[in-house]
Amino acid sequence: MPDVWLLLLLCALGTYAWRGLGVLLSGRISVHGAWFTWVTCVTYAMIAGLVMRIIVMPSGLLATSLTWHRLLACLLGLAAYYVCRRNLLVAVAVGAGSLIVLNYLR
Amino acid sequence: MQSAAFRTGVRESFGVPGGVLAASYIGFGALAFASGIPVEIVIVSTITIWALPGQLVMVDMWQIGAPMIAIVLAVMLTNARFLPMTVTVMPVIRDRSHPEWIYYVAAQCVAMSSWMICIRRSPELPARERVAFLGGLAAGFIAIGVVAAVVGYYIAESIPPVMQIGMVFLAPVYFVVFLIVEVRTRMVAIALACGGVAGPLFYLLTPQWSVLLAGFIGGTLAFAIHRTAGRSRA
Repeated sequence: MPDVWLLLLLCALGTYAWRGLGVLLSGRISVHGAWFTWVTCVTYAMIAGLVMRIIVMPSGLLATSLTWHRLLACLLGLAAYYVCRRNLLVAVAVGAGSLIVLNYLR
Repeated sequence: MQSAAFRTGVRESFGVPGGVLAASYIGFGALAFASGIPVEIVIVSTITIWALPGQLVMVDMWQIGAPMIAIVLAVMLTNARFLPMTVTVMPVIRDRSHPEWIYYVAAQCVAMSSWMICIRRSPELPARERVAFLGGLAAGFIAIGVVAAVVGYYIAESIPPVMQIGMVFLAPVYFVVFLIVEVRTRMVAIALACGGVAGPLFYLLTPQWSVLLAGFIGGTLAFAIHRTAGRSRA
């Protein structure tokens, strides 16, 4: 699969470009401008969009589970986070674990 | 002592943030296995891209057969945050005693967890030791990420589908909880809402371009709403 390696190379270079540019521009630009606010919005929107799509319209193995099971599992994970003194590890374990259980009991 | 600062960084990475990182990368490894991505790509992408959202975007879009240009643009757009992050960390770690190229290596160490800890801990360290500290942090985190991703990959391969479904769900549930509890500003809330609605909608219209469009259009919409709301209130 040479294609996937070429893809990885381009993605890695494209990602490093921002980091390298950051070194070059540090001290010369302000990070509080409108452009950076827009970048923050796009970053959050894109990852939220991807994650919501994976949960609501998954492909592959996840597609064999029920949508309301996946949503409920997320809610349980979120609840566990607050119950267990803001522990992200517990939240993730409860979220994934409850999907296994819900799906198994179906 | 540079090497001592490096070791302090490595030690610091093996804490709670390292545990959370491990959980999310185990999930990434499992998802990559389920998407038919070779394990070598999992390892090399963790070292070279070193950004979970970007890696997730790459794997997901590759799996649905999106055009290469769309994948690269989407990965670059999710990782554009590294520009402001690097710009803000550089004045913290700069010191006259280092050659300039060091900072271009250190830039690769900039990712969410190492960036946050470096900014927080640096005031306690002498300026000339901070680059080594950041390097140690990143080395520890990357090692954890690589090992966790490989472990996740092979666990997913060897367990029955009943269990595998939970492993594949680790990364999405991690991001759901992480994003929701991270909401500290109105702008972030608007951006998450716009993206969360735009993602599935654009997927219905054009699956292959949906991630890129959801980020670009959802994010721009959120930016516009944020600015308009800010102006009318001021």
